[in-house]
Amino acid sequence: MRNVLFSCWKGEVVDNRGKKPEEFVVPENVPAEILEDEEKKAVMETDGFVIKSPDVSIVDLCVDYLERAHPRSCGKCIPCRIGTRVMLDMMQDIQEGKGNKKDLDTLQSLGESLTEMTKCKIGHTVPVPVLDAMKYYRAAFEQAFEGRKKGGGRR
Amino acid sequence: MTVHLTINGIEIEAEEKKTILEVARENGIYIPTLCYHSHLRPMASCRLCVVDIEGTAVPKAACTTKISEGMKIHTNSGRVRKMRQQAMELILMHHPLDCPVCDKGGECDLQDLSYEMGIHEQPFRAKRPEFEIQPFCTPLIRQWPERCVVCLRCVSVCKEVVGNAAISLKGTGYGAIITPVAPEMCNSCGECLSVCPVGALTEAVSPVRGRVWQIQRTRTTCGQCGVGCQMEISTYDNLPINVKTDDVLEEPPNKGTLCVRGRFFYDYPVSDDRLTQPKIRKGEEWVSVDWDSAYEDAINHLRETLKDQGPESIGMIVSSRLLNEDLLALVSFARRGLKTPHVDGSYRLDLAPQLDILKAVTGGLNPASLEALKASQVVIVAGGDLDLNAQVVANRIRMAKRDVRNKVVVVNTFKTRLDKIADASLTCHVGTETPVFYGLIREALSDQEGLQKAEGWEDLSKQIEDYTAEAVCEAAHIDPAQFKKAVTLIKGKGEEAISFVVGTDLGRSPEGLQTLKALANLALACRAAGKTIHWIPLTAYANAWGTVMAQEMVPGDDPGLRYGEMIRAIHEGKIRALIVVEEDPLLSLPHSVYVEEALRKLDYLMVVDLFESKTAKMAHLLMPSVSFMEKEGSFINMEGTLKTVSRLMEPIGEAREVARIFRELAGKMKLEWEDPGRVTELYEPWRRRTVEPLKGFYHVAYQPTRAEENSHLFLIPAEFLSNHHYGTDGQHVKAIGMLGNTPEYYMNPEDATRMGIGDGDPVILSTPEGDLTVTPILSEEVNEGHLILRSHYRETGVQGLFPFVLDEETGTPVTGVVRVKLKKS
Repeated sequence: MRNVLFSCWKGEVVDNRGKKPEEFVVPENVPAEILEDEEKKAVMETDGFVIKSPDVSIVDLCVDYLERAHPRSCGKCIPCRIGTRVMLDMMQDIQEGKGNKKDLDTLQSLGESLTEMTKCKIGHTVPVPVLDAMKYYRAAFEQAFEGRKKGGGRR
Repeated sequence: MTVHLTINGIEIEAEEKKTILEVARENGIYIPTLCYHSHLRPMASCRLCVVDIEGTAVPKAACTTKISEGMKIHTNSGRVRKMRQQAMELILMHHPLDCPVCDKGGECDLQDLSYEMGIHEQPFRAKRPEFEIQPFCTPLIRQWPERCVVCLRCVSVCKEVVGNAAISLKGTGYGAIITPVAPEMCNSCGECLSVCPVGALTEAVSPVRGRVWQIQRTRTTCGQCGVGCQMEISTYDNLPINVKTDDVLEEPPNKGTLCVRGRFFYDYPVSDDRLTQPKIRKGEEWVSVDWDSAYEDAINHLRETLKDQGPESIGMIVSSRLLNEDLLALVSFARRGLKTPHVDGSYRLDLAPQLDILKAVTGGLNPASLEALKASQVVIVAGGDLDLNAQVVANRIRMAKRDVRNKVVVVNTFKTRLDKIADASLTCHVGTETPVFYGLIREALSDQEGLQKAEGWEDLSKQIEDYTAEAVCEAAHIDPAQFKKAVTLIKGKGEEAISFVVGTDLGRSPEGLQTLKALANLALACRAAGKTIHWIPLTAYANAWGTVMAQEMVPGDDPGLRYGEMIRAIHEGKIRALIVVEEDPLLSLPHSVYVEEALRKLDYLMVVDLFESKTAKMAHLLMPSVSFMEKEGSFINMEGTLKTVSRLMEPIGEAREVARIFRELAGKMKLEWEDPGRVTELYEPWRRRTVEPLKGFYHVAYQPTRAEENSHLFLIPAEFLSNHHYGTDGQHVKAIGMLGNTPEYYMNPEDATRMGIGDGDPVILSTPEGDLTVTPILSEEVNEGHLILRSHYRETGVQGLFPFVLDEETGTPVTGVVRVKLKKS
């Protein structure tokens, strides 16, 4: 199953970007059902994310994940209740090209704080794959709004 | 055990099991908090109190993290400062900027924290959540969901302290919001309002609002019941506008908690119905007069009665809600001035049956304080629903159980709110408390050596002989499993402390004194068996003890007639003139027709009151007096401690303090006036007076309750505190009008089926004394044979169903239970 382009799962990072398919390393931590699922081009869960195709938009993947993850916050701790929603909505802004570079820094700073200051595992873990995505795919996030700016010609 | 730690490099020694936050506060080290409340278990929801601990990867919440040996804590590292700032930014993201119109403005924890942390920018953005605005559990409180920070204090206090769980967090994520989930459980006590750190819950009663810098807050003692709660009443331009406890959170007896009366019924002193001028009856009409004319009228009539009929033909009935200063003046006026011994107070209805018992059990006037609850392993509650008559005591019981995990045993004739947390819930048939108490002695204590060696055991052992567990459960209709639990708890391991919380309902039932003696025997048996006992008798009137003090410190030549006996003496023609001060016999006493007939027979009825009460309407002379907010002095609360009452507003109209009225009257009447002395000088000697404690045990002559007939039920009014100050149907208190609830009668469906009564059918309750049409609600919770009335501060008219029966020994009118016949309307 040498189909994983990039994965970051439970602390194990496998980066096959720029390699030939026969050189692809197979991640050990990623569950078999994810690796074997031909339909899914990418997956993001609290445990991490897996990207199998270069066509996948990492921003879309984060938005989709946060849409599912945000309601898991029970609401009984303020930073998790509001913070996960902020992460979702700011990520959506980036997806729609409304973000800027500062937003990425804000998201990163918030995500890091949430993992350490919230009350339970949900708040501790929800931001983690998004933080990893921003770390390894920073350029893709920046492109999301820079492309729009150039084309839209707001200046 | 002591542990050593450092906070920000400062070396500290502290008791183990404390949290970092507690230790920091004790040592003057500041850690910001928003959700933390000293009377609630930590919710740990705001995360503002995060601190760094050396050797720990991530910061910890100071409110929930316990200290340990060698801990090195940093409360202000760059990392935790950043986290706090972000938490605040998140909270403020959509918090409305309506501080200028928010009630909390100027005393808002969120405002203070924003200012303190200097939150100037908002780096975050998200879609504003939309909340459905729905009515809150009670009309007395308005909810502002958009202002809510979801700290969960309100949810916790409702569950932990009030025991209602009427509100809860609904939904998840950013859409989660505090929602009424069991509004029917809400009793409008306003504890949620009191703990809200922001303006998400605001008071909806007062039409006048005031900024914290525009108003005056005065610490005083609540005058609504005998608990003696400490609180601050805010006034704006002589108007009381709200009641707060934020700055008296640690003060006994209430420790910041209040009930609906204390928190919301503060506006009766400024009711439009207040009497503002003395009035004299001319035929059917009232004529308003000045004080001098009023005094002259009183003097002429009182002198005439004294001359023609002698001093003993004058009686005086006073409210036990008056200040010590008032009561001493009144008793002195009657006994030393008029020379009549007949002066009695409304405490005859609540405290009087308890007095001798208390003296017997404690050897003096030594009720235990509510602090004893936490020091007790078992708390026995008997005699009524504390949540209706003294919710603060019920709150303290729940808080004690939460904090020290002690056990609660409830003995009552109907299910109370405390039964929900009770470890043993003994809901017994009317009049069977004595078998229950005796069964507990027999099953739990009779094998104890200490008890067997105690003086009087021979007689007590004979008294309790027949009350086996089986016999008791049969006679009292209680669940054997619950009885067994109670036996196990009271038996315990030997040397426990047991609190006896004795409600006012026991003493008002037909066999009340016997029941109280049986309960006292249980307490004395516990003590003989080696346990510590704390006896906590409740008082319904704010100054029941003060009335006792006034009577004992200003004794007459003979004890004089008691409250109810005076009504009888009027019928017999022995009392011809009556002075009634802020008391309403027509509302308090049984058999209102009999009482009304008596009042009509009087040559002269002089009433001093805030309002034109039912009794006042029959007066020849009516003089206006002031509420507890318009005078200063003291009450003696249920714990027997002196509580200060402060003047926080100017008297309404020409109303005068009772003490002043009677001093002036005595002066003008040229009565021989011997000042009883200052309260502070009288109080200590009075408290220290000891009496011989009871030798051995009481001998209780128990008679089983009369056989039931198929068409009869026992009507039990569950709420004692119908207060004429509130007025019938609440015309003097806005909050009662807003609550809008009506008296509710509950009966068992089995009884209803047997009598052919359907749910919602109106029925006529009848006794030889009167009839009353009501619509009972069917409830499995009610024992068969009972009809429970919850009156919600409303005029019910049940007094008219009671016969005029007084307890021989204590003179207490029987208002606790009456047998009524039910007929379909």
